[in-house]
Amino acid sequence: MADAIVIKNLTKQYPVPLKREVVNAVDNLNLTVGEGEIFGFLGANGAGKTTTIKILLGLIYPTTGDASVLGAPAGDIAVKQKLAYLPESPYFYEHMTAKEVITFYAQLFGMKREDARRKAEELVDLVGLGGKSDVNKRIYEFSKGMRQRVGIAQSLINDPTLLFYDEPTSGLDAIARRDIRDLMLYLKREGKTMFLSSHQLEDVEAVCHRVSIIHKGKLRVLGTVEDLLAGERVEIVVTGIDKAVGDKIKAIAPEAVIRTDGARAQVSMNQSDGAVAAVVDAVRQAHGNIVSIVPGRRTLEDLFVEVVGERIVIGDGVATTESVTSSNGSLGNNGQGGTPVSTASAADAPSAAATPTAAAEDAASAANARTKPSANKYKELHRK
Amino acid sequence: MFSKSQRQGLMGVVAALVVAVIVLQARIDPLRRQEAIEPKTVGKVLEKNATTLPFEYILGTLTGFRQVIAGLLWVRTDSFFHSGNYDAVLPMIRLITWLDPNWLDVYATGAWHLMYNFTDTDQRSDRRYLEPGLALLDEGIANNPNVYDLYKEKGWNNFDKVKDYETAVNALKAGAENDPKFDVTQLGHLMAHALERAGRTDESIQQWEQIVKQHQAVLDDKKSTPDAIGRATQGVKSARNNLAHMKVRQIVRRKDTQPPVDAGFTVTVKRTKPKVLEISGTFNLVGAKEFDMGTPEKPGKGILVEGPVDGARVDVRLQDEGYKMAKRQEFSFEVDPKLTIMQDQISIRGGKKAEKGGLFVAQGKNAGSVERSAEHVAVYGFDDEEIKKHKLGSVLLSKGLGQLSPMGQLQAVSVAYPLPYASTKKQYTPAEVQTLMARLRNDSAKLAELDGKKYCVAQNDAYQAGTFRREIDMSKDPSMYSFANDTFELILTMNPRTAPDFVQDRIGWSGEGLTDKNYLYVDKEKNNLRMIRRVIKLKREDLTGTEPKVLVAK
Amino acid sequence: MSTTLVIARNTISEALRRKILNAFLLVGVAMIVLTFAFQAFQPRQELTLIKGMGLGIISLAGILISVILSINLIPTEIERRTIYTILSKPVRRYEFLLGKWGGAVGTVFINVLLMTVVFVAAVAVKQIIGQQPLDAFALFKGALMTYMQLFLLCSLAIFLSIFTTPLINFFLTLSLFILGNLSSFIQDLAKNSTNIVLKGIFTAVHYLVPNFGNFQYSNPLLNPGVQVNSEALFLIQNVVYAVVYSAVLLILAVLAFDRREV
Repeated sequence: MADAIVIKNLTKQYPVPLKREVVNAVDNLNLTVGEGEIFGFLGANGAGKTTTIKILLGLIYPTTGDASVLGAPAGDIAVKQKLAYLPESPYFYEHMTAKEVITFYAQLFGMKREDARRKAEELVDLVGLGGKSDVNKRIYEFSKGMRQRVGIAQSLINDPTLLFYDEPTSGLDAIARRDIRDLMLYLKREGKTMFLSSHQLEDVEAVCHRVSIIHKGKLRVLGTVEDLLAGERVEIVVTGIDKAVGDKIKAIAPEAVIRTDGARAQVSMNQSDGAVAAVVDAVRQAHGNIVSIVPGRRTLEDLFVEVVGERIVIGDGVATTESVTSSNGSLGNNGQGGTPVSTASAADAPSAAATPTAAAEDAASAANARTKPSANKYKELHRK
Repeated sequence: MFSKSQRQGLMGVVAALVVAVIVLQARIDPLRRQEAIEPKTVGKVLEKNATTLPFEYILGTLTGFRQVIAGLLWVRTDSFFHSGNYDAVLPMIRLITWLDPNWLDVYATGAWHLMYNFTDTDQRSDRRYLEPGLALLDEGIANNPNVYDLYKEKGWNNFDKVKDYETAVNALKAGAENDPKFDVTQLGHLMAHALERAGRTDESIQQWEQIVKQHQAVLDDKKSTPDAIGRATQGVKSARNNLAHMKVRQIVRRKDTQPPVDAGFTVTVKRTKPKVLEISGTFNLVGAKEFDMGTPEKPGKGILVEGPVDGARVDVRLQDEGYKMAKRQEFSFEVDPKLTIMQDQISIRGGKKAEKGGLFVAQGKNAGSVERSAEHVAVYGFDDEEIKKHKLGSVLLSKGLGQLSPMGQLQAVSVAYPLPYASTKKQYTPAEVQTLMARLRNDSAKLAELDGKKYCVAQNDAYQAGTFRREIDMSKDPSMYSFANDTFELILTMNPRTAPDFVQDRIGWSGEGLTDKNYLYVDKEKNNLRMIRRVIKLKREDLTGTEPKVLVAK
Repeated sequence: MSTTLVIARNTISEALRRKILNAFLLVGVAMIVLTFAFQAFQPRQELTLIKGMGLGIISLAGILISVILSINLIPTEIERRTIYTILSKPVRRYEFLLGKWGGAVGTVFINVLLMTVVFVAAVAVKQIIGQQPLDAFALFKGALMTYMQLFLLCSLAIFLSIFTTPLINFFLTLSLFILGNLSSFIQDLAKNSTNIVLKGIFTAVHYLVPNFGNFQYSNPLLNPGVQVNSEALFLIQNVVYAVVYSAVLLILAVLAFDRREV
């Protein structure tokens, strides 16, 4: 299978205003995404995700290194016929209706005006904006969810081979999120390649074949979802411990993630009999209480927090990160300043694209089983 | 992204186009900098008003909005004018004519303000502003040499205000020469009138003939607009009428103006209060009471009835001794605050005439009120004093029928059988007079009625000169009349050329029919104009003294 | 090319729906109509006033519309990220830039045309009713010059918008507009200058700064007696000047925008 995206030694530097320094937004990134692969691209705000996508789309230019998309240098006009891009919180021409906007974009693909109008009508219907109450609304009257639907619609105009979705579900309500997730699963089944940047880790987990985590411009984690989430985890909830105990726990299990909530602390660590016993002992010696010990599956969020040192909090529509701290000072690593916890597969992860694993395919078929109307519509649309 | 060679190629194109821009600019410059597009006067706005003008006006002027600025200033000017703030009007005019030196109406209106609107009474304007007014027009003409409008304005102002008909003619001729598209009705007609007033009657007739041809050409041109045809129709009618009058008058005035009338000019000047003069006097103003025009081919008889008329004026001018209006080289609205010029006009009214054998009305205390029907046939009312003074006798019409002169007969008939008021005036033919006189002689009731109205037959010729009188108050506006000079001259004139037609019918275009024992003045520079002129020298004390005083008695 | 046209058309339709630009248009038309309130003047004075004011209002409204539209077009696309969705489609950067420029000059054209048609029609009606010589249609010459001035102004503002923020660009464009209008004055300074360096600077400014003063052509339209030599040549040269200078600005803008990161 050919590679859809190849990134080699890619570095993007920005000058720091008023100083002679530069900051590396993307730092010697190497990455390959195979055709037909749904590739999750994770990272905290400012990690370099959008910068990378913009380089791949030719919106900005790399300082050094190369990027190619569908076999051509990034930004190639011919290739753009086959690309789709859904930016984060997309904006459109505020004084136009959804249909007008889509018609306009369709014409940019060289469609005749009449064809573009027909296409726009179909796509606006597909994303659920064809109702009487919405069809004459101008974009400035749209909610965030409706704008996102316009964004989705414009990404489907050209039946793209490769899609770049930047936070497609952020800030959406549960139903809209499910619709979009279903759409992504449908696109996956259709064999589309997708470069998905998202904060919605459960979406990524459900949809992606492979996942990468980028931090401060550097690739930290890369692997299939199955590989990365392999291994059991244990969650120990304790009360009545202080920072010294936290330090002890980190010494026992460096990969542990400690979250505090008032007097309670939740320690999430790898399943290992000796280590768990040692942590329990440490708590007891400090006269703390063990509230519960629950074994569980490792989540992408755990991995993310481990790598980035930050926990992702989804607030009302805005994705933010919050550093993990205790009430009496820093427990573990502070995401803002400390060195991130490294994982085994970080920078030198295999660059070759992995074939979608059996597990991923299972996920896909699972999604297939509960195909949603929107995905059906999408299918019909491209059969025409 | 463009490749390096593409970028170089495009930069090459840019370089070539920049050269093209420079070449274009060099070709545009001479065209753009012609006066018609970019007048040089605009620079003066910056030169002279940069510090006094609001910044946005300067900015607007520089960025292509100078005509908007001029328009806004003009609207302001108009409101100043309507609120009577003439002093504020002048700087605005100066600025606007710099901003838009082709806006003809501003020069014309500005000159009108200067020459007419600075007044202390309804009648008098501040004559010091004539110089700048004419200078403004000259500037306008210099900036718009190929448009007739301002030549016409200059002509009109010289004609109407300055009464310098020669200058008016020259300005109008220049207008016609420089702008072949001049308006015949506006400029051509005025030129003919000015030539007439200048005493150049032959040229005036030629001009009217020319005008008739010019109007006719418009009427004959199939491409003329309805508007142009309408104007030409009016114009040709008026021109033909004027031409006919001129031609007839040229013939009849030769005889009608002889012998000359003695003006019997007297004047009394009193200082009633400081800077207040009462000027009064007499002037035997005789004109045509009845005139027979006829046609150029068959001229009428000219004056049928002559007699004292109202409607001419004595010009009064008080000025610094020796002042002569100068021609300014450059327009500025400043005037000499120490210069004093007052000019006014006083109407002559109330002259009377009784001809031996003619009729008059003995009116006793009601002297002066004469029946309208009688007025038309020149029957004057004389009071008892005047009857005695002129030894007119008081023979009633019924008793005096036998001694009526032919004119008296005509008058008696007109009085007894007056034409209806509204009908066209007409003289009875001699045959009609004979019939009607016979009827009158036998109509004792009519004669009794006329006797009752005191129609009498004059036993002698009697002329009572008209009088003029006005109090001229120069005390109210010291900025207009500073009386700074030591000596002044009070000049009283009666210029036949400014007189109305019916006066000129008797005294001639240039005073051929006018004389005066004391004050006849023949102006050789003005084509032997015969006028009445008296110059009285006054000292400042004469004008500013506090006690009432007679300065000149007759 | 068709992509450029699509973007231009879209820019126009978006711009025509913007309240602020329409407000200028409406105010412009309203003021033109209001100038007919000068009743106190003689008919000819009134017409001179109306013509001068009308052309001025069209020009002023046009400048505001041109500058506000042009300085914002591309920065707004970047700021609002609408450019991402466009440039991620098969649209070349120069096509995008030329499309935006085309949208700007197209929008300004529609605005100027609307105002001019209202204005000329009103003057013509007034002349017909007042039985005055009908020369209202000559005002189109003034409107053409105004439009070509604005055409160049749009090109300048869009060129500068590649490098500057809208606020800075607003003042920069207006400053250059004023400087360009002062061209004759600067040419005189160059002529009268004895200092060789100053002379050179003034000459360079005169020839190289966009000469907006070239397009000041109201005098002959307001004052019917004024005779212009080679009028047609003058008008044509000015049109060519605006087009050629705009081409320079647009090529430079394309080159700069090609390298610019969005």
